[in-house]
Amino acid sequence: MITALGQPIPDDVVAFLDHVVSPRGRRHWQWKYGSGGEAPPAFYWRDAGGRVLGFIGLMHTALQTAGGVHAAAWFVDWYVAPGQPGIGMALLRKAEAAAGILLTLQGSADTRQILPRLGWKESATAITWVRPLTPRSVAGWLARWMPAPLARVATPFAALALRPRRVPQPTGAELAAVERLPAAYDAVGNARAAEITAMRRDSGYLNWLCADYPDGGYRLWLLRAAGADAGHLVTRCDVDRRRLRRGRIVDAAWPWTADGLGDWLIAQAVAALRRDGADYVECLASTAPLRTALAGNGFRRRGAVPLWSHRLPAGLAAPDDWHLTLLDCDRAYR
Amino acid sequence: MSDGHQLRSAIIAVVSGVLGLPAEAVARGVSPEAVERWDSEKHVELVVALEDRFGCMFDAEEVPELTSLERMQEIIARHGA
Repeated sequence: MITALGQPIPDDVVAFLDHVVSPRGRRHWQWKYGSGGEAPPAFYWRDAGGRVLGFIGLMHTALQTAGGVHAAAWFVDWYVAPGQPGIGMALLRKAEAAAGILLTLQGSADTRQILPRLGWKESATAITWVRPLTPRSVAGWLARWMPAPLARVATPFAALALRPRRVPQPTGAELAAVERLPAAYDAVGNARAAEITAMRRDSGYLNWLCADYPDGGYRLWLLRAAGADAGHLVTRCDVDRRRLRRGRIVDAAWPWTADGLGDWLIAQAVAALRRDGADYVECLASTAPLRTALAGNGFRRRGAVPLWSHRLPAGLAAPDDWHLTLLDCDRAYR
Repeated sequence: MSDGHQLRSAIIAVVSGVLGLPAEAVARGVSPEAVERWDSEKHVELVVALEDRFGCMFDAEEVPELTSLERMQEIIARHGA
């Protein structure tokens, strides 16, 4: 039967997640699904014999629009033990009923097969953008596209594009590193989100997802313009599967129409990640202001990350127009 | 023919179409254990086809129960079909 996840997370649910999702351990799952609140953070299936056979996690959020705020959730970690037809769909139905707007980003191959059959729609405007920072990363990319001897010859020429770009600092713009975002920032963060139709960007969500992440690695900044809080920046540096140091611009927000501010903020993020030793920087972007700032800083498009949605309320802007970054869903640390 | 027989025949037609089995074979009884191609994706397809045919929406808890003609008939009848 379907069971709402209680606290603390039962040992056998942690064991199921470690076994079928990723061996991250109780500390991780307790962070992800133990943050409290009234809405269940997940559902799982326990059979008559007491075995855990399926799981679906919910990261509750809210879609900020010019017309109002809509409860929403990202579904993540949707897994079912083999040979259990129907349990996955049952868990998804339960999540739909609990979420308001239910969404996911990317999804496994199985997920991408099943969702269209259930009427889910795919939007592919969120694109990963990449900028190499070191000859090592350039060599890796070239080796994918040409024979190794040719790649060795081409690398020094391609590396000419690695030089830092100089972007003028707009008058009155300042960026301050912070341990956590203050509650006073909530009105600004959510206003920035509503201007562009994005998920909540308040201190509670940002601090939980980034500052409280058990394995660390995130850096938060507060952007000030003309003496007032105006936006934020989140970066992260870790190691990818090819053992390259991966820098990520997890999220960035600024007054979207301000001349030069976005270019400068992204340049600051790249410089910070360069100092952190990143071989390359990547960022997920779906809307024009961030895309323009990335292009202006030498980023190139790599691939789309599909957004999946279902049964959206009437009158909402189309998902193709929503602002998405790595802060959304659980993409930032994966 | 009774309403129960008509409902059972209609269910058999849906299951036969989704699983690609002759109606006579379905009528003798089917289950995920007995039909190799009845995996999670096929189950989703079956549930959606039943909902479309009978104009209902199954509750989350009912979805995994739709694994035999008898249970399908019972659950669909509960939805007023």
